[in-house]
Amino acid sequence: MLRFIVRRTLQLIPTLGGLSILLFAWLQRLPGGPEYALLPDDATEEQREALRRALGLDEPFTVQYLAFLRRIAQGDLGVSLQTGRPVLTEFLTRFPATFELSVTAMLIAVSAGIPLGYLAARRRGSALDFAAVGGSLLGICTPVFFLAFILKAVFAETLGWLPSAFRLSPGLTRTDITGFVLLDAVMTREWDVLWDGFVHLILPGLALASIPLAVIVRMTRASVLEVLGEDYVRTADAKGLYRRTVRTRHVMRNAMLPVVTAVGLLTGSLFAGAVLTESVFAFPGIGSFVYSATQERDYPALTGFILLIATMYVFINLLVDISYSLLDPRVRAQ
Amino acid sequence: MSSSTPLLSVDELSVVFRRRGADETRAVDGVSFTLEEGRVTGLVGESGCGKSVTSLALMGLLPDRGVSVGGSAVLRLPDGDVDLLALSQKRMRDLRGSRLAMIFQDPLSSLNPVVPIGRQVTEILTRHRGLSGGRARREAADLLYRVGIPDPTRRLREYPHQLSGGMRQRALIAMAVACRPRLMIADEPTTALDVTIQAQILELLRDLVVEEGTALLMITHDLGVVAGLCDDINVLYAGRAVERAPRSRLFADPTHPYTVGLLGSIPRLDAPRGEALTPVRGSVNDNIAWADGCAFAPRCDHYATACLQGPPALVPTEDGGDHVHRCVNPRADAEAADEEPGGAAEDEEERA
Repeated sequence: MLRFIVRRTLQLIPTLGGLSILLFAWLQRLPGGPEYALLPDDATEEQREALRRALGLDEPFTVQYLAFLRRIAQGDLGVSLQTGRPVLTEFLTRFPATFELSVTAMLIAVSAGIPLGYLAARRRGSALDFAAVGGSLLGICTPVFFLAFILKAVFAETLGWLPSAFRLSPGLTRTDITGFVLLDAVMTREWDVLWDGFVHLILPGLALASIPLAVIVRMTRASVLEVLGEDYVRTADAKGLYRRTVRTRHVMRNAMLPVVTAVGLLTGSLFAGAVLTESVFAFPGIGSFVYSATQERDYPALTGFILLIATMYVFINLLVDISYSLLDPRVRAQ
Repeated sequence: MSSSTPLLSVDELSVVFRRRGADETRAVDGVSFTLEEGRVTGLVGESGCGKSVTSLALMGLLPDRGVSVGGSAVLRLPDGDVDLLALSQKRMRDLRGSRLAMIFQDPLSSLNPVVPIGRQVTEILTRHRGLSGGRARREAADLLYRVGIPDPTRRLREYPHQLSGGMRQRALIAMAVACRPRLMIADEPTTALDVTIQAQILELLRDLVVEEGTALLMITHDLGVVAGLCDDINVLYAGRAVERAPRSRLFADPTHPYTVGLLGSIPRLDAPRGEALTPVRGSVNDNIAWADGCAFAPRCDHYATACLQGPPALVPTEDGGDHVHRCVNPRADAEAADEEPGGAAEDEEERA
């Protein structure tokens, strides 16, 4: 088991290396470098050339790439051209909000999607099954920002049940320890902050959960249907085991294997995909920052954010593989 | 057969599958037999004759929807007789694994790949005998040892893919015998195994029946298995029994043309070199409804017009007693031994 984890972790090195090369090459190829963004439109070609030289942009590709790697290794992701602050700082102040939002969305998707998918499979052809399959198709087809607007209009603006924007109500003070609102609130026992933060997560969390929820319902349904037809489920029934033992130990343990993989991949994509939801709910995560960085050609910020998000994605994949090997002994054997 | 009441009496068992937009299928069409303690009863026939469906019906493992089961299957229990086909699902769950057990065909797919063998054995002990923790594990190790798995404590921690095919089937047998069931059903338990392992598994089953006095219903298409293991044999065709006899009688003196055909299709070492096998021609799909006559008639080399006039009844053969068959124009021994050359030639053409 330990060998599997070590080997799988070592495989991250080429993945991350390739990732950094691709990212760097892609950035080099983009038209309109920072010399256009930083200097006024009427700057001369000489001024632009001088700035390029000052930023080291005239060096050969490999030299620039190695310098890039060296800086990353030192934790230096450069300075954001928009704000003048280090990219890493910008990321760390915004990421906790996105993380909490993504995890909330994933919890909603998993806790509703798996039981729903199971019931749909068990009652195949019933009204519930049609509703689950049809609803998940609708969930996949509906653009997230559209759903976000509807949720906001109905539950925040019309009914007034839930807040329509921000991460906390204005005027609420909180003690900041880690940057994670809910975590800090628990640590400092600021229960009003915990509740307020939670309430602010519900609507954006629901909007963001729609696609993962739809995917999880469908995958669970298909997977459970397949497992229900397996001989070992018949064996379990032939042993006279209680229904719930058959369900948890024999059906779900096997049916969850593909779903675990999907959950991992979906979580990774939520970190990057929260941009639209965050902007609808004015949620202070990385989404809005990435959006403006694109507009402003803030390349250091873009490079840094993409690199950090991609790295996280890779590590989530590692976690998925490790949990998969814990769930399925056949993977360990190879 | 003994004169005491049998452990299980199956009477006119029928299973009909109904699917929306399709004709109903009579998979089992009035099968009756009895099982006695300490005896092995064979249910023999080719694929599609209804033998596996019979076993699933007795175990209550057929799907809830789209199936109707008729007839009765009365099991003698210490606290009175019960009809397995009329019991509630909850009651059947109590009986399955404790009074009735089943061994399936493919040991790899019949074991849960992500649960250790030990857990798959102990869960049945926990469910029916209330054992848990160390006691359940010790009992599970004993069971594995009893069915011939060496180093059982290590094996308990392993997963199905780490065991050989023969060991997997032994593990499944250990689960089946865990609660000393009075009745065991084995559905082609050796089909997926090597020939040498097959013999070991059959021997193990035989020993368990003799030691425990369990009644074993052996479902197979393999007449070799039948010859080595079964005391009584039922030959099934298209959902009905066509011949029933004690083993020695059936092999020495088969009367139904289908049984004769099955026996004729076994390769024999003492046959002259180059002699072709004589398969039963056609397939099980080439039959007619039992209501119209003998379902086997279209494939039978010995049919007469009498065969197509209404359903044939199960009647005693000329040697009488417990040898019965469902045939109006049975085949004499002389003819059975002397295969018509025309029939054999036709078969070869079909196979080419």
